[in-house]
Amino acid sequence: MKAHLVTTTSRRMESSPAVSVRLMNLRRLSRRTFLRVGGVCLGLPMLEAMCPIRVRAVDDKPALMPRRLMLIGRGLGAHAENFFPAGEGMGYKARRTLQLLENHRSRLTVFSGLSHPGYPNTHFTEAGLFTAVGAERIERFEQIRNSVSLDQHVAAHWAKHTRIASLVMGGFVTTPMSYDAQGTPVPSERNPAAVFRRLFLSGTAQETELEIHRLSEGRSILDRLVGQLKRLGSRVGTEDRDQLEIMATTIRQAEQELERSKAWVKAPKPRPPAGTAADDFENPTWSTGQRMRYDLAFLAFQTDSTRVAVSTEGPGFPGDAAGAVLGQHDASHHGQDASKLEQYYRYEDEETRNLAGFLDRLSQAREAGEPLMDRTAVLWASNLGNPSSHSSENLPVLLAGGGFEHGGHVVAGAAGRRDLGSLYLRMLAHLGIDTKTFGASSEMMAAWR
Amino acid sequence: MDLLKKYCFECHDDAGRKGNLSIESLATSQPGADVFARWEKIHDKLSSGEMPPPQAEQPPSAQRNRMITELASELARFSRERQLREGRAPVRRLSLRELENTLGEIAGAKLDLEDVVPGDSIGAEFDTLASSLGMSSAHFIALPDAADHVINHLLPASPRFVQSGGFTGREWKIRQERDAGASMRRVFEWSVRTARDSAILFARSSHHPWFNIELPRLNSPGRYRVVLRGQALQSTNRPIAVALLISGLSSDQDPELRRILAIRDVPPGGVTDVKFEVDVPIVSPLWKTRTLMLVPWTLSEQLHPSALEAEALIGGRPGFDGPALEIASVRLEGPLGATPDPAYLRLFGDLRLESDRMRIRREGGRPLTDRELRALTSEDWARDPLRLRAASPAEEVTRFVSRALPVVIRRTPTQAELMEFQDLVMGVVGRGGDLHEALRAGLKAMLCSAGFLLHAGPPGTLDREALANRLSFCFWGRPPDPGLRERASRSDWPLNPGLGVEVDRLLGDPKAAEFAEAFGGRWLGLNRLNETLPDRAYGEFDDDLLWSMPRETVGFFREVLENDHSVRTLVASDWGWLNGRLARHYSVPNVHGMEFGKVNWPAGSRRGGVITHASILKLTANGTTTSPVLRGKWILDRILGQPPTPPPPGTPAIEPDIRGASTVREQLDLHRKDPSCNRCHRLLDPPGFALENFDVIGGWRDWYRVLAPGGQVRSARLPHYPHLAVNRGREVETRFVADTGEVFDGPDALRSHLLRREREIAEALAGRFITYATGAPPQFADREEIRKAVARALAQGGGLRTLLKCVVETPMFLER
Repeated sequence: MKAHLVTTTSRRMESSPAVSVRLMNLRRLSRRTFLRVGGVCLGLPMLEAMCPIRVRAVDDKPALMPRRLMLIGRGLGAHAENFFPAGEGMGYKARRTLQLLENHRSRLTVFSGLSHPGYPNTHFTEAGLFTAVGAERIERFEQIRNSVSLDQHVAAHWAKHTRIASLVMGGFVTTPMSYDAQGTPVPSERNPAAVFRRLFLSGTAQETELEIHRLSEGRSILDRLVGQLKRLGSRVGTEDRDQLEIMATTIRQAEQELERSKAWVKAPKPRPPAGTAADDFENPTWSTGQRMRYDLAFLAFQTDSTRVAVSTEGPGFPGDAAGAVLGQHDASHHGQDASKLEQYYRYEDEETRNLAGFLDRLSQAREAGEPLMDRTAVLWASNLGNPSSHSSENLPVLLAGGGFEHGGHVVAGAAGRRDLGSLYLRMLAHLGIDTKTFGASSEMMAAWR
Repeated sequence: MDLLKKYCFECHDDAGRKGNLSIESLATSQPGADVFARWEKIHDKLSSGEMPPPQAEQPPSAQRNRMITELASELARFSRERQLREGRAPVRRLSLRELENTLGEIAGAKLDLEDVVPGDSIGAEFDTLASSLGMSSAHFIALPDAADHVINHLLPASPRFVQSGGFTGREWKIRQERDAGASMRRVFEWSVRTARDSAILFARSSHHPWFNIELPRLNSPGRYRVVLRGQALQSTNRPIAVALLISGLSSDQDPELRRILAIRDVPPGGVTDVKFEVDVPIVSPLWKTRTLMLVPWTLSEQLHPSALEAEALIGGRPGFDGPALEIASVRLEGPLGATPDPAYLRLFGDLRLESDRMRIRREGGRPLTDRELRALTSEDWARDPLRLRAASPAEEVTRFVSRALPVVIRRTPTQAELMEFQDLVMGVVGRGGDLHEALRAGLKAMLCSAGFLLHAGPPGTLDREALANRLSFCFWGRPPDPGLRERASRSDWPLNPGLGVEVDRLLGDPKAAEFAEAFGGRWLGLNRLNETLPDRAYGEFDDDLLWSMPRETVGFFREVLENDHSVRTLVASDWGWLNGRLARHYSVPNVHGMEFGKVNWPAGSRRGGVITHASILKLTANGTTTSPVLRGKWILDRILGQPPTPPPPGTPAIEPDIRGASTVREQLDLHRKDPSCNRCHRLLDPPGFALENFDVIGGWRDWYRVLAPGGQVRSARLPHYPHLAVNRGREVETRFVADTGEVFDGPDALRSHLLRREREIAEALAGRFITYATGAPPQFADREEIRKAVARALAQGGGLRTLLKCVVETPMFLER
């Protein structure tokens, strides 16, 4: 009965954010009450009943089922001989990397032959990893003109459902990987504890009132700014006018974000799972930082605080992975030297194990009777096919979960030149986001199984 | 066109499109920025001789030259037309640094917005580069929060009282002994003694707080003065450095060293005052504790008693005669500056900021005394806060807007702009808000306005106010001060007294310290200094060295600029800017302490110019090994302004196979055998190899240090750090014969090579400077301007300051 009711309302929620907020309030309250009484930690099967309710009465309409997207950008690539398995399809023979992910064989697809066609061979192609922008727009670092990244494109469609549109988190990387619709980098949160506080900690009633005032005032200030930019536009050159218009579009977006925050500010935040506190997310190292970001994405998905998360992995330093005495970047320029490769593997293995931990958690947690994994598309990818040469070809790309029909090892392009954007179009179609072109791609990759 | 057809179309026609370039279709494309960029590239490849490639048919030189000049004049014309139509530099927002400085000028105190506003790209050439100053929605959302910090400081709920106080060394010691646990107290007793009212410190410890001299918590932001009265004792006549730090973390937990505010030397030979002045920011993630401490920084370096070893070292020897620091007294005072705060006066004039209680007593003719005000509690102030008050609010609104708006937007506002903000503020008053709320709202809106946020304006020559802004943001990183605004308001400025005089004036101001860091430091890449940590094999690397590295380079740049030394000095100087720590690193005798000064290189030293600075040598290495490629690239790019062009799109990546090559040289020899590698490496490798005698932290080496994981025998001693034993590897070979026949065999050869290329260095520097100052890199039409400015500067002796003045006088600087 209850499930039925919620399903009906959730249809409306898809179309009307204002309504959704009120309903969310009720929902949150009931969850909170439940938690206070039960004192149970999130993630126990019982909680399922309390999790995003509108998915409960599943009538197999994908639009109603909440989906999540997690992107992990690996700045330093992978060693091809470890990453790509032998043989195609589900029966592939795993090498070093996939051996560590053997538990998840049925829930992942690893692609070979995907590329960023025409990209320069350099580190800053990180900028195009999730945007698949045309090569001519990424030739020089100073002149990158990017387009929207996959996470922000999806977040723009899903933002209305959750408190936070997207969580963009990262270690130290030289180039941002997340870009808004205007191609401007989205700042990345380097402090996991701050993300935890944003997800779970609320202020006092008085602070909430102040917050509402702050958001309204911010809104009217930004309104005024748009007017000023318009007037300024009439005094400057046409190129500047175009820039000011882009700025105005971004401001409109900021205003919507403020509106959304205002709608959510009174809704109590979910409680953090028992035994977790902001302190657990302090002082990240290279590896614990990765795990913290995975944990935060997991908690955010599980509590439906956001549906899109990004984690960018910067270079590890000596000591960051067990037995690593060379820095990861140094070791990545291995030139096939066995001792440097051995050092590079240490970082690679650590990254893979951290991913495996995340996939384990996603498979164990359930939502509406389904593993959370099946509703969470996880893309683990790098802009470097070969970090030793900075090659932009044959990129290591792994897609897990998300309810895809997984195909084991998929050889995406026989010539090794299939563009990565075609996979993004496929993913967007699967996620129910109708997109004709993405970055420089207009051709969707065919279903692989 | 015929020539292009003849010599280029073989590869670059519609059918070939080699490197994704078809000159055939380019020739018929609509002229736009992209098309222009491609033609520019074609011009450059033709004139450098890179194209047509050596294996292809070459045009006779007369024809080549004709192609080049025709192309160049077309490109210059097109580029200049665009500049006149659009303005040379695009509109851009204030960078985070400029935002902090500008808000700080308005507030009258420093801000550190790291936790408030998203950071700027650290990879960009300069933080002023328009193309890297995009704004995401997060920036816009953060703006009002940043403004709130400023407003809360200007209009606080309770008055900021001046703090003033101190203690003697003896008082400090007694307090520490009282607070320390019993076991520590014993250690402390041995390492710190008293004589009369002084404390004598024999040790410092990075992990025991008892040795830190903590100062009282600071109640409010602002500028503070700390005076330590003391002397160095038993130190063989050398100073002992004392650091002023923000408390919170110890230095070894905070490798960024950002908590060190200043290091000063305490000299021997009698008790003297050593002064520190620091700015406590309004907001800063670093300053959460708002407490300062003094640390006897170099005691442990001269003597190594960790606190626990103190007993063995000192305890058993009451007559211990090692170096010590006498602390007679410590005093703290601040916030310094006039009351009322000039920043407040600029915005609010004579408007009163007072509480009800203060108003009643004032009206009763018996104003509250300072003592009575100080007696009020924070609850009192929360109930009855300071507020702006005036008899006739409406009049005040007009006065406030016409006073504050020019300050915030850095120029004379238009009537429409004044009206916009007057209407806004009056609106708040009309809705029943009081004057205080109304002026707050008005100031906040100004601080979030386009006029505040952006560097923008119509194309063409800058008007006087815009020029004053460009000059002041360039050399001070902040808006013009009242003095400059006043000068710029005169109709004959800048002709009278002349731009050069104005530049001298700006550079003579203490605020110009910003320029050496924001331009000089970033030009040389210091923003990337901390990207890698040296390997553990470099045991001599410590906080002091890391702290000193960027200061050497920035200080050296400032010294060259200050004295208008030749641009050549930047790459070859017979003096250095050193402190004791670097002098030791460079094996320069008789320099002590942590403060910097000019030092002449001793005979036989291999140092000179930025190319041998430890900072530069560190940032061009990866922490573990040095790379001649990275160093070569740094020299080509930063010093000569000729970065190797990235391979054209579609060039397959070359995977080097270095197996069997055990030295960098052998690895690169393998590289150069490949023609497509050699195209750049023949340029990169020679200058890189010339610096091969410098290790990853800029120390001199005749042989490589072997990084031995696992406890191998440490076989050799380092000449400049005799206490360290390391594994000795192969000899360093630097000798390198370039394609041109030129022999590079070490830094001296590289220096003489660079000295022959003075004009290129000056042109590169001029281009970088214009990029930094305007936010836009040199354009095709600028090439001629740069050449002319450099020629003028060289004719006048080629001084660095002369060069900058010559560039400031070009349209690149004087036009939008």
